[in-house]
This record gives sequence, C-alpha cells and structure tokens, in this order.
Amino acid sequence: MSEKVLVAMSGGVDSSVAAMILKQQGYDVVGVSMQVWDYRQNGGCGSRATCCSPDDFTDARKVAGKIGVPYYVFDFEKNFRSEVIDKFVSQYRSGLTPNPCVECNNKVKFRELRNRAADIGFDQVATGHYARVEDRGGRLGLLRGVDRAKDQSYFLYGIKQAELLKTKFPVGHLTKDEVREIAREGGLQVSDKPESQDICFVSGTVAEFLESHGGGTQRGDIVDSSGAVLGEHDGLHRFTVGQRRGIGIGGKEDPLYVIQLRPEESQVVVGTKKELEVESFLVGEVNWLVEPKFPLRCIAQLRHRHTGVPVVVNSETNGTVSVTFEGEWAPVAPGQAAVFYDLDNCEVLGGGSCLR
Amino acid sequence: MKTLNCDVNAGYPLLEAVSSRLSVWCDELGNPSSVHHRGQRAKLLIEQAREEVAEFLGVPRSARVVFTSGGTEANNTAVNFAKSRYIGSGIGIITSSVEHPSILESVKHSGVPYRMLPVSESGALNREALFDALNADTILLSLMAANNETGVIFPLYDIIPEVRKRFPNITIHVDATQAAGKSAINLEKLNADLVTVSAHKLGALSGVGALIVREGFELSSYLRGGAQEHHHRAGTENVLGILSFGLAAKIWRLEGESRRRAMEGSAQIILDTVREEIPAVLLNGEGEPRIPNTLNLRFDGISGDDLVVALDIQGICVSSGAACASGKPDASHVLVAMGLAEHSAKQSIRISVGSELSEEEALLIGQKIIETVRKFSR
Repeated sequence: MSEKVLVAMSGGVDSSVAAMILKQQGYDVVGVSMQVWDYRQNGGCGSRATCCSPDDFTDARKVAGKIGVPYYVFDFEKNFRSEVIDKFVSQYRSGLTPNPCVECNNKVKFRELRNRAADIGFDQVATGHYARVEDRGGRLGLLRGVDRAKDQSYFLYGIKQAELLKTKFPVGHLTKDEVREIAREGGLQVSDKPESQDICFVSGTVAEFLESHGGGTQRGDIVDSSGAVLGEHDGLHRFTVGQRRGIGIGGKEDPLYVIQLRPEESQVVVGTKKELEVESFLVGEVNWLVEPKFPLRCIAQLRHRHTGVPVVVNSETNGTVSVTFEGEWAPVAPGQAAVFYDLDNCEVLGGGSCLR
Repeated sequence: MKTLNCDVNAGYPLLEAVSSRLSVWCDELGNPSSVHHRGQRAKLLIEQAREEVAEFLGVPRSARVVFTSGGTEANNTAVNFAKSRYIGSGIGIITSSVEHPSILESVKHSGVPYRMLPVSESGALNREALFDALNADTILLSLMAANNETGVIFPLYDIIPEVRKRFPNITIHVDATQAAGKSAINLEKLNADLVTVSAHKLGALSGVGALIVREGFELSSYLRGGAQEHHHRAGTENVLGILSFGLAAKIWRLEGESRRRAMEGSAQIILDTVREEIPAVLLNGEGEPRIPNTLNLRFDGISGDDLVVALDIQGICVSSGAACASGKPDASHVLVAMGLAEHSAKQSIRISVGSELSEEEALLIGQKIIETVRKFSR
C-alpha cells in the first residue's frame, strides 16, 4: 500500500512539479486546489496577478490529468476569510505590517488542509514551497530551499515540529530553473507560466483592497519624534517601519525613515536612520522547531527579502522572546515575522511575530 | 477499483444498447435536409426516433416533439416564449424556487415580472402562493415534475387542471427532465402545453433533448436560420444524439417499470443500511412523494463536499450542491429554498442510483457511507 499524500496545487509550476515528483516516486497522490476566494463575488476577472481563478484551477486540473492523479477543489473561503483576510485588514488598522502568507500557511495550508486531508484518509500534505524537511541527526528539521533566491522557509516557521514528519516539499532541493525544466520535460503546460506576484487575494493595490474592505485608515499627520508636524499622510497602511520612500517630505538634510506608526493618533512618526536604530526587540507567538537553549545565538530574518542578521535570543516568557542585535541592526516592523535560523543561516529554529 | 455510480441524476450512464449501436449509426449520418438518399435515410431515422420519444412519453398523436440541444435549451425556449408574449404589468411568469438554473436564470433575465413560489421544509409546492400569484397578465407557469436534487415530485396532475379551470389562457410548461424514466409519465394526461425532456438523463448521448409542444401551439423559434423541426428550431439536427435518444426512449418504455423497481430497491437498501447505523441521518424531502432513485441525505456536522471527495476516493460517485464553473460547489439552492441554513445545506449529499446497481452493491455503498461518515472526526 503506497503512502498517501495530498498535494496543494495552485496551478502554478512549483506545485505542479511537486505533484509530479511525488507521483513518480510512487506515492498515492491526490491533488487539491484550495479555493480561498470567490471570483464571482469578488470581482477580479482572470487577472493573472491573483490566484484561485477558474483558469488556475483548469491548469491544475490539466496537470493532475497529465500526471494521472485525482483532482478536487476544496472550499476554504470561510476559513481563509477569518484567518487570513480579516486578520490582514485588522492588523493594518492597528498600524502593523501584516504577513498574510504566514497566516495562510499556519492556519490554512498546514492546519485546515491537513485536517481535511486526514478526513479523507490522507496523512501527508505536500506543497510546492521552496523549503526542505531533512533529517538532522535524530530529528527532522526545516531548512531553506536550495535556491536561495526562491527560498520560502521564512513563511513556514509556524509548522509544528511534530508535523514535519507529515509534510513534504518535493521541489525544495531544486532551483527554479530546474523546476521549470522538469515541468517542460514532463509536458506540463505550466512550465512557462508567470509567477503570481504579491498577495494572492489582492488584485489592485493593498490600499485599494483595504479601502474596499473597510480597513482604509484615515488621513493624519506625519510627525517627528518630538511631535512636530512635518506633513500629512493619507492612510497608515501605506507605511511600514523602516520605509524610506513615499514619505513625501523633502528638504531635510538626512533622509527620513518611518520609525513608528501610531494608529490611535493616526500618526506616522519619521526620523533619521539613527532614530530608526534599535538594539533589541520583542517577538511574540513564537513557534520553536528546535528546542531553544537561552541565550540563543542565531540569525534572524526580519522580512521576506532580508538575508538575516546575527542576534541573541535572550529569554522567553509566555511565548514572547526578547532579541538583541549582535552588531548589525535591521528595522523591525511590528507585525512582520522574525524567523530564527541556525548560525549557518540554513535551518529554521523557530519564529514569531514582531511586537511593538 | 470499481466505480459505483450513484450520481445518475447528473447524467444516466450510456445504455449498453445505445453504445453498441453508435458505430452503426455513424455510417448513417447525413443531413436530414438533403434531398439525396443519404439525407433521406437520416431523415427517416430521426423521424423514427421522434416516434419513439413520443410513444415513451405518452404524447398525444398530434403534439410535436421538437428536438433541441438539451434540456437547457428547451427550458430557455419556453421562457423565451413568455418573454415574447408578455404585455401588461402583473406577474408574467410563475415558477418555483427549486427549479433548475436553466429556468431560474432565464426567468430572471427575461425582463418579465416573475414570482418564484416558495416550498415547504419538505420541498412541497406552496399552492396558496401559486393561486395568489396567478393573474390575468400571467403568460407562463413553469414547474418541474420532479426535483433533480431531492427527487420530490410536484403533484402536477392535480395542479394543472386546477390552474386551467381558473386561467384557461395560461401556457403551462413542465420540466420533466428528471421525471422522465424515473417515474411513469403520460403527457396526454399531464395536459401541459410545453414539456422539457433531456436525453442524457435517460442514458442517451448528451447534447440533445426535446421540447414537446402541444398541437396548435404557436411557438416562435428560439433559433433562426433553418426550417428544421417544422420551423420550430433551426440548426442541422444532431442525428447521432437523436438516434440515441430514440433508442433510449424505447428501452425506458419497455423496461421502465422494472428499472424503477430496481432503483427503488437499491435506494431503499442504502437508506435502511445507513439509518440503522446512523439513526440521526436526515433525508431532505422526507414525507413527500419522490422519484424512487434519489436520496438527499444530511449528516449533521459533516461537510457534504468533503464527503463527496472521501467517497469518490473509494470509487463511489455522489454529489453535493451543484457543480459550478467557478470550481467551488455552492450550497444547493433547492435545500436553501426548503429552509435549510446554508451550512446545513452544505452538509448534504445527493445519492441517485441507476437500475443497474445490484443489491450487493447497494449494501456495500451503504456500508461505505457509514464508515466514511464515522471517520470524519470533527
């Protein structure tokens, strides 16, 4: 009896190849697309920038047919709305910079999907993420994908250690080019499909999305750290801590950065680079994949495109840790994920959400 | 793994007698409008098929069987007729809230004021609402003979005479897509003006159906550009489809009774088996007369969509809600019209068996349903 794996298929090349590889390896594969967004009700007719369009499902269906696996579409709309979209909107409203892909992975892909998989008798879940699950001498570890430019391990820190055994990332040890090549060789028509950019449920700009979902924040003042008003902004959601561009205030000697968002007063606080610098910060709702020993020296990645900087994780209280930069500092945007990697900057030790 | 088809209401599997004749018919294909012998041969064959369909349905000699591209086109044609005749300001079209989308959508888009009659919790038509809505401006009353999702039968043999008594000029359309074959229908007795039937619900090819038109009824053609179907429906006839329709109609005429008995037996075995182990299971439409092959079951707390997938993985085909082009199944509008909250409607599955199912298979299906439902922990 072959091992059963449910593969989340988006219709894109990564998950398509993931499904194909598992099928070739002899697993009992079922492909599933998660419908998280109803195109009919929410507009967005077939724009390739978003996901879950009927065209994407058709692509996934064709790939499933080509590789010879059953294919279904699961309805995740409700779950996605409450766990991802609503949180996205409310976090922006609270002056945080949300990370919906992390929420989706944690709450939708690797929890709800896993539950549904179990319901139909499937123990393992696989995706086309660029990440790896590997044996680290007696335990399983979550590692960065081999293709560093495509690595998505940053978004996967929320997976529980016990779940690694039931999770597969078939393309994590490949480069994007290799994946496209495999797709081409396999006759999968999605090999040259452009990648979905940005957030899968936002078809216009984030600002437009928030405005149409009741999350549009009001105008307010741009102030410096002493409270002096320097200008006006038209929505906190257009700013994130560490941002330099788009502030719209010129004529200052030193370049200005966003150093804080104050939702209660609807203020954007800006300052010099020096003012932006912090020595330490807090990270909440931490999930550990490797049991930590404090003080923990490791590499912290603070946003998607951040290579990571050396830090010391000092201690933990009730799931919140205090972290100190060891040398080089980086802007900390509350709401963004802070993911801790080993000193080789390869294995994910754990991660959480940056607090104010 | 053996496939157990319990979704025949979506499409009855091609009858063996039909599939074995297909290659023979392929040699006879010609354009029935052509003067030469090939065309005439095709013409003769489709007329024979037309007779078979008429005989099967108990159509009065003089009525017309107009072949269409399927039930959807036939339904749209009926609504289109009302659209072309409507004048006035009162309710022009009356139908029920549990009709097939090919009626509901065409009515909604007809531009004619309409009323969709409510149904009870068990799916029975609200007669009071019907007679309330009927007025001098009403052109069309369209009702289904049997519901595709619950199997509930509307008592049209009673309703139609009552309607005609008070409103003799109304056009009455009956969508008999699911009722044909699964119940014994006689269109002469039914006394409707327009009746829809669909070939693939009878185990013939899909892409063909018929609108049965009362004699003397002036039906303007929905499709123009040819004199086919006695000027009722332009377009070169789907000869292969029509021939399959004719043969299927003949088979159901000759074997209908025994087939209905077999379907009823299987459905009952499945229901009894499931009920014994899961007494809390609910039958949507219970208490109403139903076509014998359909069970719409509701399992509290269990997603119908997930159940469909879990059963499919074991080779058992059932359905839930309605398939939709957006990929995600919607809650059944029929169940919602019956008063179910959307989340309850989504906890239902439709099992519709064919007459080919054996008793052993029915028992196995019942057992698999029980096993699978039990596995759903949440």
